[in-house]
Amino acid sequence: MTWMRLFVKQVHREWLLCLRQLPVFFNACLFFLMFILFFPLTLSPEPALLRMMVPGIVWMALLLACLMSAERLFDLDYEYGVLEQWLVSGYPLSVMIIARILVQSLLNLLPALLLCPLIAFLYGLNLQETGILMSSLALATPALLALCALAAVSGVGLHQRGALMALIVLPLTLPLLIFGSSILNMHLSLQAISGHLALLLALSLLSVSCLPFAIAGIIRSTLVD
Amino acid sequence: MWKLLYQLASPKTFYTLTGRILPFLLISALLTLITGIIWGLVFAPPDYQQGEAFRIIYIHVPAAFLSLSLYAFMGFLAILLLIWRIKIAGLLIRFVAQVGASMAFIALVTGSLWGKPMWGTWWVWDARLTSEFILFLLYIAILALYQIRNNPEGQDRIIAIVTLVGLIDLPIIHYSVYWWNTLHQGSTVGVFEKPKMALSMLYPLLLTLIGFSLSCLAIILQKARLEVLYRERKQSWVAQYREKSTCKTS
Repeated sequence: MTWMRLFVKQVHREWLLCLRQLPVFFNACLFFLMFILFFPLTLSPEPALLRMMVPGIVWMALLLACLMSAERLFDLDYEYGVLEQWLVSGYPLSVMIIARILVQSLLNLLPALLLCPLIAFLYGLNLQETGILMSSLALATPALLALCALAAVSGVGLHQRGALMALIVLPLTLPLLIFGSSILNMHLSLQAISGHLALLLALSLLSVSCLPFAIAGIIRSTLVD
Repeated sequence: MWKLLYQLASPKTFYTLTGRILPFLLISALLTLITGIIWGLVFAPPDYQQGEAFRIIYIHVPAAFLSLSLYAFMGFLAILLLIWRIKIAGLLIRFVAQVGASMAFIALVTGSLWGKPMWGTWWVWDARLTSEFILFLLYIAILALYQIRNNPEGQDRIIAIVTLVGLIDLPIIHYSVYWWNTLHQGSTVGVFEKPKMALSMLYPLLLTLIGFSLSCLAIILQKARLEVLYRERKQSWVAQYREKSTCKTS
């Protein structure tokens, strides 16, 4: 089996796994909705202020959603011994991890993208601004999820490790958050944004191509005793 | 240098060699630290702008310098562990992280104490301050990873991998914070761009820098020696060592 076929098969498997757990997907949607609805209630209700805050709110919602869904990213496979089968199968571990990261990031991205029109409606963004917000989210999610996966896998087998994961993920994802959330504000102050979109894409490519090796190394050290 | 590294890779040589070096290290660390601090705090001339308050520099700058260089040292150790499989390097990472976290903490606290009389606030969202704080959090994250109950060697490898990812990410974090700050506030007052230091102020600073580095190294080595003994407690050389030391005391 070539790597490409392995990758396609693996993507198919991940996709099926997600389809059979649709409630998880709806929970993610609900979480996102709650976050963007309730966060403004802790701020003052001025539309101008809210418009300035909206990128930060959406990005924090995306980050927290990724963190929450990544917490059990490798748990079931660890318990059922799938990770061990991956190890002894002789196929490159990183290919399977890339497949998982890509499918899961798509799954995390979808609620955000679906709810973007609602965000635009609530916070008074026009069509172009919504498009920019959506594209910045789409470009950065793979990197976010790869970092979350790194944190998830380094604590696999630990109970109640949400805080530990946040501690690892938040400093590492800071560049993504800063560049991502500033894109909309830059557009509002009439600056060119293509450079920052390219930066986000570069960070995503870097982390999706390099982090699977780190994750594979961690899985190996966890399982090989 | 490589030969020395390979010799150090064996736990027994590491233990005996560092045992011989450690007393000299401690004495020289104490000497440079004491002379540097007394020279800096008492004999160096006061600054013409900042008065006596500038003297906190003799603690602040070495701590900040060490918090950065210890992270680089951790990266070096992680590479040693992951590529050349030198287990001592993996064992050292934990203690380097502990000392590095405390240095980052000292740098943050002294910086804030220094900021109050100079800038009027304890904290500004300046790029350098913020990235130092993030560095501190990264150290804490790495230390928190030691909660994982695993065999110690697997744990060391996991932490080495996370350390390397952090090492690659640190420059990106620094520049993104720098960029964030300049976008939102404009350039901050150039407090950090000090006028060139007079030599009478610089020499004690260099002394405290050397003293801080030597004492950090001494602490790291001492802790690592204890850990080596603990991990190798079932080996014959530790048993011999234990017999020898009990003979001496009795």
